[in-house]
Amino acid sequence: MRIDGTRIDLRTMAEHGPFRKSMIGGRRHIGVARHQAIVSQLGSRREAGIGIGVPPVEYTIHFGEPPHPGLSREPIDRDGWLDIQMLEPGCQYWLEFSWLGGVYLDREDQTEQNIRETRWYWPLPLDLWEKIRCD
Amino acid sequence: MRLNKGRLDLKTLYVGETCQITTGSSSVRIQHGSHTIEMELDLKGIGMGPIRDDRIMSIQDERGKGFFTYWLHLDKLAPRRLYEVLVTDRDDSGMPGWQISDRTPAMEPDPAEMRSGGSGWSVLGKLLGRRGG
Repeated sequence: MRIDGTRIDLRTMAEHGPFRKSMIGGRRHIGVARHQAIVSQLGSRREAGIGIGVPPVEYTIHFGEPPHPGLSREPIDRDGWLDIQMLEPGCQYWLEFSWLGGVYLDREDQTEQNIRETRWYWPLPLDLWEKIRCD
Repeated sequence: MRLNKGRLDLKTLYVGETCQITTGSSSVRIQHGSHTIEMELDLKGIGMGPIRDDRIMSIQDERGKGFFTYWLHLDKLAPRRLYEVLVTDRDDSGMPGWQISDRTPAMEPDPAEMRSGGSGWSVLGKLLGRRGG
């Protein structure tokens, strides 16, 4: 997976060697603390998810002070870079390959009431999506 | 600093600012500027002994258009070492001049062995010409 400072390139979220089977539903867990975030390996939908399990750690990303609470920048930019530093310290997140052809970022404490502030979606480029959904 | 597939993009390091790489048995910690990233990685350890640039570095034309990426292969470093990478300059094409040094502190002698006059001392004794060591 490509990492640039505190940013993760969601286009490379699936990089796990050759694409042999569908990765739809595959997830990575992100645990965010005040000065670091822990990113897990990519797990299949049967082994990774809320109430299912957390895959082993792959990256630990350290950063300085978290951003000002009033700063309301989106955590994922148009090019698919997720800035870990924009996530809420003390929260857990899941990245997931959706059936819709993109990546969902969900905060674990999501409810119907806070879904607008706790869910983000980034559509994958079509050529990459073709690889990810291959069976 | 940019990483991908266990490789460090040398072009993304600041010129003149040291990048410290600490290897564990199956993990790597990279520290540069204000950023620190740790990753799980199988270290192949072929970098043991003298460091050879051609074994740990590769050049890739990622888009096939002459935009070269200079990768330092972290998995080819030796385990349990401390390395320092320094990009010294860049030429007009962006090619980095760089160097890597092994800064692993020398092993201290085992205090228990020193007290008991263990093998370390007997070897030293032989070197100094002591008999019956």
